Amino acid sequence: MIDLIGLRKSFDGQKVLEDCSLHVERGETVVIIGRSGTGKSVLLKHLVGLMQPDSGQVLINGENTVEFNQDEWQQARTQFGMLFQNAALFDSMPVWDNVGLGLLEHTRLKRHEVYEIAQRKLELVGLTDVEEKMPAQLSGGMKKRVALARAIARDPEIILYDEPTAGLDPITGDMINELIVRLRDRLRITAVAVTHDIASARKIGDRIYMLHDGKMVGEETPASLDQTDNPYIRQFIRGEAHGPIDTGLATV
Amino acid sequence: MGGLVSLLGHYLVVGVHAVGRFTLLLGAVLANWTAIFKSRGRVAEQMAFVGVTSLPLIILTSIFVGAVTTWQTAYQIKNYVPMRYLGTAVGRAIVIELAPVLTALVVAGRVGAGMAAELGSMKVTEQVDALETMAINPVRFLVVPRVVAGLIMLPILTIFADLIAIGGALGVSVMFLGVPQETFISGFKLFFKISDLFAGLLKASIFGLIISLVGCYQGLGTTGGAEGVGRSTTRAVVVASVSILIADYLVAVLLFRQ
Repeated sequence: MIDLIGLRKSFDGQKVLEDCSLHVERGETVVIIGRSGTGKSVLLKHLVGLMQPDSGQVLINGENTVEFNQDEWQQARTQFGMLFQNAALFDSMPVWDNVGLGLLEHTRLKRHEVYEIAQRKLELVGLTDVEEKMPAQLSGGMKKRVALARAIARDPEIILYDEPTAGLDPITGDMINELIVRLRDRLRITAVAVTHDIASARKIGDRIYMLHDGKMVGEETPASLDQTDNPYIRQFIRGEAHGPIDTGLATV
Repeated sequence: MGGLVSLLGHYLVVGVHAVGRFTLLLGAVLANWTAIFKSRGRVAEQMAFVGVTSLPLIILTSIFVGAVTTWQTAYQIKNYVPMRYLGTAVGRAIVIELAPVLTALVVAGRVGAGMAAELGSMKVTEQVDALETMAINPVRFLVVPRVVAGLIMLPILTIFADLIAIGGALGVSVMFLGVPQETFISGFKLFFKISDLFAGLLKASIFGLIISLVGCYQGLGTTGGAEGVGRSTTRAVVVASVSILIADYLVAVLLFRQ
């Protein structure tokens, strides 16, 4: 379904992704863990064409999207949904408009029909009576759920989650994880999530990759995570300052 | 010396890069102009923002533009030119030059900055990325309605500015300079040509295009959080204001042959 092959990306000479490869099967949720600033979100943005790699391939259903022109991307993006780290709700629109915007723009559905679909999607993420509220009137957790409803509004084949639980309290974070698992089980959506929240990775992931120094340095399943012999993953899940991942602490 | 050349080279590259990106944005707006039919609501919203909400400020500034122009003109022509030509000089200056340019500068400060700030904060909070992932072209959705609103509303605001500034000029002439109303109006009509009015409105449309396009360009190019939004907003006003004055000269050279 999704293949990243030898992806490289630099910003102003600073390498962020270096020979990064990944394979995602249809219907599975792959989680990419790694420290902040290791390029997890950059990798995610390559999947949906928000960034272009310096070299390498991004294959979606066997098609190399790196060669896509703008029109082909517009077409390809209709199969994607994305949950952004800070929800990225359109703050000048009410909640229902946020959720239904894709439908209003890309279908001939009338506004009241879109409103009803938005209501159903909001119910799916556990929200009622928020349709007319503005994003500024919502809590962080509610914003994330509205963003999730927006991501699934057009029944996408692929959803990308950028730090789905970042900035949320543990209970709200777990509620978001629960919703992601439900979406996967009910709708069989293929998903790629990036996070540094290990509890979230365990709960939502079928497979867990670790990104370090621009490369994937290990792969585990939630079941094998605790017994991993990969030193990078072990250091990361234990949250240790000392190990193969250089934290700079030794030089202080 | 080498450092200076290097610095100039750097600014040249940055300038050419910016002009190229600005031209691409203009091209994208032209390629997506049909969006106005689908985005009627958003166009109307932007027209209200550019036009209706700017009107009080335009009324206030136009009264004083008319008043001060009349006062200064009277000061300069007294003893040389009969006061019956005061309306001629002031009226043409307002219609051809002052109303379009000063309206555009006021709108650049208010609307251009607003557009840059709004799109800039949308950019840094990933709302523009969210639009793209929803297969919604940001130029089509955000830029086209604003550019159309600028193109349409600046000439309308300029008509208001013309009328109000001439009213201000008339008021000062009658109340403080002792020029009778009939004399001022007959002087105004003496050399007034309707083509002058259209030239002023054409300039206003061009200024509207500049203000909205520069505001959107700066907004969509924002990087670096709240500080970046502040930078884009400042740049939008500065670049639009300078561009308005340059465009004003170029249009004058093209339209008003000596």
